[in-house]
Amino acid sequence: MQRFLDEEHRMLRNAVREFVEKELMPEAKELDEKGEFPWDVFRKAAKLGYIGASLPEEYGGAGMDYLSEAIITEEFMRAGSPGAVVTATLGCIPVFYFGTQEQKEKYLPVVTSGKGVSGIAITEPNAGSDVAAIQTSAVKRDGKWVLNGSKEFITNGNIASWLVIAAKTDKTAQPAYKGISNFILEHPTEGFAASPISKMGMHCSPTASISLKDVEVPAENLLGAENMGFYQIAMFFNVSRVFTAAAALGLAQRCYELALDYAKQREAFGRPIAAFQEIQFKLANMWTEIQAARLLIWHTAKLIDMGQPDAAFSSAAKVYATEIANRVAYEAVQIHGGYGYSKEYDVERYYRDARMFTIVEGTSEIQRLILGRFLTGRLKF
Amino acid sequence: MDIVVCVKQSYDVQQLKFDPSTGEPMLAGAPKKMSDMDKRALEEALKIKEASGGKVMAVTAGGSDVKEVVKEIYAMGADEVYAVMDDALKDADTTAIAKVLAAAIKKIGSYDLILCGAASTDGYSWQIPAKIAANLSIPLLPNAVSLKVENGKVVTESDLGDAVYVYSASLPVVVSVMLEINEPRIPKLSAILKASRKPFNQLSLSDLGVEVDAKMEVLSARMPKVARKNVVFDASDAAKVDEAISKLVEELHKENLI
Ligand SMILES: Cc1cc2nc3c(=O)[nH]c(=O)nc-3n(C[C@H](O)[C@H](O)[C@H](O)COP(=O)(O)OP(=O)(O)OC[C@H]3O[C@@H](n4cnc5c(N)ncnc54)[C@H](O)[C@@H]3O)c2cc1C
Repeated sequence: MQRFLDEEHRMLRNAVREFVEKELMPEAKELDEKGEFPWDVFRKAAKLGYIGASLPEEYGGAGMDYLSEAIITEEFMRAGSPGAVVTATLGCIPVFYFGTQEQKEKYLPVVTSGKGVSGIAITEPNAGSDVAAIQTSAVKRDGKWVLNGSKEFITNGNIASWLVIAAKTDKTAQPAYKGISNFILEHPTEGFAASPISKMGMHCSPTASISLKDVEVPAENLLGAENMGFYQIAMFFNVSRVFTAAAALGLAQRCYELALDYAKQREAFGRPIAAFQEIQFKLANMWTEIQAARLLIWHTAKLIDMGQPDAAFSSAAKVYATEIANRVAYEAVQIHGGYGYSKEYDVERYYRDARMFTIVEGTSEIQRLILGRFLTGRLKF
Repeated sequence: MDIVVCVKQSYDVQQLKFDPSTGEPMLAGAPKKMSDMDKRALEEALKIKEASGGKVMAVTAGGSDVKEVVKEIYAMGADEVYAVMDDALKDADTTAIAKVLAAAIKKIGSYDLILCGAASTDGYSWQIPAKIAANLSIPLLPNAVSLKVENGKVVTESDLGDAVYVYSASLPVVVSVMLEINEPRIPKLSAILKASRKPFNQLSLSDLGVEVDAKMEVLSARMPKVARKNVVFDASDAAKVDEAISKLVEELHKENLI
């Protein structure tokens, strides 16, 4: 698959792989057990230009393309949850697309320089898949916006230097999605509180519940135009879903490598288990699905680079890569037998990490609804 | 100080796949990468430049696949890179390659220190550094695990297998380096991007006035077979344990393992 890339992307891939194998892989298990965001690795990665690589150089990025970002994300996630340092740029996507010059200059370099991480808070306790149903409110008062409500499952919610927050600015809007706006909220701000949620996997990627009580946001921190938030979120997903897919792909790739190595070493009935057709078929399927996912992801990233982001491809890449990651992780555990279920072996944590990916950034069901609508022209939400 | 580093684009041997029926490496389309020890030589050159100034130049010789390594060398931070690109070099022997590299170094002009990996990752012949030194009629300090340049002199700690020797020589000199000498840097993304815009300085064999006719013929290259002996020592009940242990020890002695 390397041969598919031009020299620049191949060099990038080799450099990132070397970094991850040197700086992240040897400590990944320990980092995952500690369950903290690996700040050291994040800062080193930022120094080398791996955080926000697709952002223009004037904001501290490397001015590369989304294909590069997809490659970087895959390579980082080969290390499992500690690779989630690349989620630092979650909030940068909408700010880059819809922010003013001042907002971009103020907020993007915080992340690309490795000083802090960002996030985006859409989901609420009573509104996940149904984004239009959010209830957090933003009301204009004395030239400021005042936010009230709560957010749930927010990646980096408790560690971010700033967050993009989706809120209702017009409660009467019909349909409801036309009344949503996005705001940039700095941390710390009075009335903002975040507490971490304990999870099944992805232990190095903190997830938080957030409460907003009369949180004041300066007028200039409205992102883009008022009541255009839903469209901004849709555009955000076109891009972010490619990275979510690439992240899941990284897990799948590593699971496959671990399973292949193990199958060659482990003997049963007097021969390596890799000699059994049943195991070979599993490996054949795992490998094929990984290649297919990678091509879909690279193609989708390329579309964005060509200025033609395609929601159908973003959804297809997201649903496919995240589901094959779960299948591949499942089979990797199966090939490891009892050892796969023990914490001694890495596949156990990859299996737990993979589970998140069919849920975040729009569940598999939602991706299929989006695709169904594109394919049939019928709205079925 | 002008430093010239010799760099080879090698097969990435860790990613090599072997034909299961013949045991031969499948080289068509196999991934390549900068030879490991050469990368250390380049890192060492960059470190010297960063500490005391100078210019880092690199030469590489091979087929058309040297283009990629040229960018990688730039990305790490070399000032100038020269590539001798000719299909005749693909399977040239070490004598011919060393002659070509030496001619390229002379063509570049001035040099104080020439650095190269002690052996390449794929060919692993350990011959090139000495042959370059011979072609240029300057000394070689081989297998350096550390290197210092002071007052026009180079001091190395050189690992020759039986012991680590301390050598010193006046410039100009060739130094070949071992893996232990340093930990090479990973290029920054911005450097990778800039590398694409740097000039590709190509030298042809006729530019150098060198003819390459010595071809290396590979008679055989096979994946080593590790056959398991499957010797079982019966220790199925307590009475047999002592005997099993002494048999095991005896067997290990026979195999020269203890
Ligand atoms: C680790 C983690 C990190 C996260 N990070 C973020 C973040 O940074 N920012 C953020 O805003 N959110 C984040 N989320 C939230 C995530 O986006 C939501 O969990 C997700 O969108 C689903 O919403 P929900 O949990 O409310 O499930 P629900 O919407 O309640 O869905 C429950 C089930 O019903 C199905 N379902 C819902 N509607 C339909 C339908 N119309 N047809 C068929 N099936 C349907 C869903 O697919 C799912 O299986 C994160 C979640 C996790 C677990």
